[in-house]
Amino acid sequence: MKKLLTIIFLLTCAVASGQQKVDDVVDDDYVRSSISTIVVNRGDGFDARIFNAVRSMSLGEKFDINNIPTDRILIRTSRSRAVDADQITSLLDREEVGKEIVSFWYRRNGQGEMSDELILKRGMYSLRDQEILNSKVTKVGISALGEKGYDLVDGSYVLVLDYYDVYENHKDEIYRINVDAFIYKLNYTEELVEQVYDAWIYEDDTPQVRAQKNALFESITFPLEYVTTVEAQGTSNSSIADAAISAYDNAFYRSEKAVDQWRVTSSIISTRPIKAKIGTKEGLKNGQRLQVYKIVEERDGDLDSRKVGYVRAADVVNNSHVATGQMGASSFYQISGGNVEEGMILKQKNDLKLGVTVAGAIGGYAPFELGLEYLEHINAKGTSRYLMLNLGVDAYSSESFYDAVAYVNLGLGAGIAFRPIRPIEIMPLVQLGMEVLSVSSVPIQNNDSMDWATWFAKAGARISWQVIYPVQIFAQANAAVKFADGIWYKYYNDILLQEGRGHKPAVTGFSFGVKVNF
Amino acid sequence: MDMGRKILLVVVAIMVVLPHLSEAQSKREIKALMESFNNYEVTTERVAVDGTKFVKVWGYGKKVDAAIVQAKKNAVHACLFRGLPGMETAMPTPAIFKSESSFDEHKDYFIKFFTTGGDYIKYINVTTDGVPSGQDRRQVRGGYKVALYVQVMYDNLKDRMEEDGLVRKLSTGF
Repeated sequence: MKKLLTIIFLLTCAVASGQQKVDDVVDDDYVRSSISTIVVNRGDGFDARIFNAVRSMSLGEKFDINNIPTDRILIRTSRSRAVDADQITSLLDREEVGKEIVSFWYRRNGQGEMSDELILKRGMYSLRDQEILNSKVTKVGISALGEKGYDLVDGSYVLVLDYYDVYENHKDEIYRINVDAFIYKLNYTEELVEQVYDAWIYEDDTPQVRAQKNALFESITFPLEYVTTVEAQGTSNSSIADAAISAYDNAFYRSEKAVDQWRVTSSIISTRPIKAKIGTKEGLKNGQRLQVYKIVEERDGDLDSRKVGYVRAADVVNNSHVATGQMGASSFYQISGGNVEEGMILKQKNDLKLGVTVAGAIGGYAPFELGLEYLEHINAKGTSRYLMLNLGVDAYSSESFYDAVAYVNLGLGAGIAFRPIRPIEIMPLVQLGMEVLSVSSVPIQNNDSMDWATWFAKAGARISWQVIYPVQIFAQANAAVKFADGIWYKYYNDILLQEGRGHKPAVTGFSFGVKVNF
Repeated sequence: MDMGRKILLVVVAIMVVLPHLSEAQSKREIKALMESFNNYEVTTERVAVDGTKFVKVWGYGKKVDAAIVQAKKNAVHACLFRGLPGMETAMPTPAIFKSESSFDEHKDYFIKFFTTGGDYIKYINVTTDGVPSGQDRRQVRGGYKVALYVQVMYDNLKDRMEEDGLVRKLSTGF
């Protein structure tokens, strides 16, 4: 036991002080990206439903949307298998999607006339307070800051969604679909910028000059670089369109992890509470996880980013407006790691906000429990709300029946966790659930399944200790009561009670377990 | 020796030693100041409003606050003795003094001028948003190295040097 405690203690210390090196040097220079979404049509009956489902989705405020004419491409192959990136790449090149994106940025019209209105507008919107403050002491002033928008053109991405492997079961209402999200980036080089300016049509240009400039623009190739592909699956019990939306959500979650430029970075401006100047404009949401880094300059002058810990977004500020030099800041709660200081860097590192628990119990209705917990909300003091799903099993051989008996209960609940100190979480919780009794020699008929069940309510309190992020160990005290026993549940449970193994109407118990967050 | 005498002896000893300790401390501070002026980076950020310079300047200190103070001093020191490098849209700026040795020629003046919170502070505006952050805040061996965005009131600084008689006014040269 002593050895175990020593190991746990050492691991905790290691995590608290451990600041691992990372390969790339992290900086707080996040720049907004823009996205065009294209759906792959297969020429079948799903095309319209999937396309409309994708169009109904919003990517939120984090990205600017480049609405280009090509919003779908046709690849006539069976939807039973995925298409590969080479096919997508050649189609994007053929459709000159890169040119469409540049034309969108410059508001290029049918006559080939361009405008920098959108670029300046997006440039102003993307500014940070530091840039505003710096500009106030320079000759060019604030009005010229919109020119930052020209840099944003290079941050244009294309998301091509290919849906395949559709499963529709109307009888059981099961709908499932896979999606591959192919991600491309516009490679907008300095050379291309100059070529676009050469093709810029001015009011006093003669028709001949206009024609030459239009021809020049049409001759330019704006290449798209393949970035990565992420795969995801979506399920629904209502329609294939909903499954497509679910798949899109999952794919986008993975895309944000896969494309480094999409991960928001910012610097910590205060530590009590931890605050940073990011918010709704960057798509920040309550509970979102970010990693803390510090920058270390080695003796040879090389820079290293070292991981310090993790925080979660708590109070998210509405900063969806142009920076003023005095933008509001969101607050965060530190969930792991060592000392966080002003000036350190935050970098988005999404997780599912889920935790899996495994516990053994003494007393109560089930000696073995498995749980799934979702972090629904967290505030700047670390107070968290969880939604829970709990599965308990109590199975053994009955002396009365010479047979296998199993109580299986499923509970839904909620808990509010307080943190007196960061590694410790104290959580009162409540659950409502159903328990089903089965005896292996007595089959449960569909029409009388409720007769084999009972309802139960459970209240408890848990104390958790974060041993090493993301692992917690916990002890929990519970009290539970059953009500509304089904006829057969009551009949067999009463017999089992005489054996001393049945479930009493009210019980108390303790459980001990492990929770892993991911 | 009775107790009263012992106490008296200790007090006298402290009174004799203390001024020397303070002097030694002060000498250390001056040495540190001089050393820090030998090793810093400064770049011109953009063309600043008339009469000022907008620079990014680095400072080193055992703590972040100390590094910030040093960076401010360095910004003024650069304008006085080193000059500012040029950039794409801005010509290099000459130092107000022709030689870095001018510091030694007027050492007492500049030691006082660069005392923390001293007159140098009148000639800068820090535009860094909050504290230095990201790659502008580096943990280095034995402390921190930070970068600040600073507007230096170059013309005012030059006028001050002229008024104090350390630099000849242009008009006096003819």
